[in-house]
Amino acid sequence: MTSNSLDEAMARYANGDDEAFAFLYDGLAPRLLRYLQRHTLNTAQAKDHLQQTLLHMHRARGSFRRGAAVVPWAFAIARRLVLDSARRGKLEPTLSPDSRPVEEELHHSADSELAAKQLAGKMLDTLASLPENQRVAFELVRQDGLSLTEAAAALGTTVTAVKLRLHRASVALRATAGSLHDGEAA
Amino acid sequence: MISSTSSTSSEGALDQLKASLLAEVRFIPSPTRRGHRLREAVVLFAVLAMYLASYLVVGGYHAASDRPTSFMVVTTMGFVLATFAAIWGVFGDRKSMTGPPLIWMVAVVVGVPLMQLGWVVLGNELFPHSHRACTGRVGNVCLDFSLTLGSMPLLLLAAWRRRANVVHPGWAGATLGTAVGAAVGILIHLSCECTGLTHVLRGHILPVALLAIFGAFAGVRMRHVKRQRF
Repeated sequence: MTSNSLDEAMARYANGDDEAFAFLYDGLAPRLLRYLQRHTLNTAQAKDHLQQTLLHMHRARGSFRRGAAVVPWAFAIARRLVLDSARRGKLEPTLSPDSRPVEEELHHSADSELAAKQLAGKMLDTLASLPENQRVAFELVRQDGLSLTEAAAALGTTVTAVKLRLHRASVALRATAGSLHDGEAA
Repeated sequence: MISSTSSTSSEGALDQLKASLLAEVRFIPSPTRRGHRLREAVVLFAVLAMYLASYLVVGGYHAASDRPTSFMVVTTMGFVLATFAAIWGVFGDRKSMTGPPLIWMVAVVVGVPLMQLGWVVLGNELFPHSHRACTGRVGNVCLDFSLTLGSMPLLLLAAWRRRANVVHPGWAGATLGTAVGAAVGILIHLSCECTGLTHVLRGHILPVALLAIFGAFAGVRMRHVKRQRF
């Protein structure tokens, strides 16, 4: 499902085609849920935020501008809801670190599993230690698959700023990976 | 295996959520684009009506003999340009649902009052005979008028886009406040002949900054997306 087809579906929904909502859900919900799970570390809250995000989009469908992109809008709403919960102290992590979505995708094989887990753990620690704006830009582009333009719109900044944040985050992560590799070689 | 089990369960959860959401949205009213445009037209008409009524309230155009047409055209054009810059900051890219980038909004909030001030200074330089220091008038009347005339349209516009600002609601509100302040500034400029720097700073520029601050509060309180009970 491409971003363009989702934009068209949202435009149809804004014009009153109620059937388009199911298509939008199928295209957006899995990506948003992954994003929300990563940020809330709580499946129930992630689902609740997902529901709120989609209901908000439903309520505001009439304001959807012609030619606008729906993906950054949806991610921006989801992000705002997560920030709002965090500010009110309502984020309660219930997922164990082993069930983090990023780690789910790792291949499981004898020796490489330990090394991969070690690397993933270090990378996640480095990612967590990055300044918030760099971390969020990295996650949106590299993990959630948003384009630079979409990430810039979701974060309310310019494409150049996103590129810069992404570059700095990549440099930090590369340095971590490099140091780990050097340690193993030694 | 672990990942396939968890992905199957998350797909099942997503299907359940989809079914409940599809059932729920049928009962939650949401205007379509047509309905939204109608509301938009009503709000903009109300704001425009308030603006024109304000023009009459402040006494309309004050045609003093030492304010020649050329002076008025040049200086008013500057205020109109500043207002357009602020309005552009409010709407930004018409194809974006997340509003303009933060840097544009900051530029508008900081730049528009400076642009207005610069224009007054330039007007005083270009038309020295039109300069009126008004040493007895510190600018409180203009300040009061601007705040009174600007607060209602600002509140109306902030309430109209309630829960609509998903990114930087405070700055979006401040930009809106700056735009309203700049628009009211045109009326004040047309009715007030004082161009002394102290008066202009207090009576014409300060209200723009205060309306921006007021707009920022309104933005955070009213335009910010938060959890709702549907």
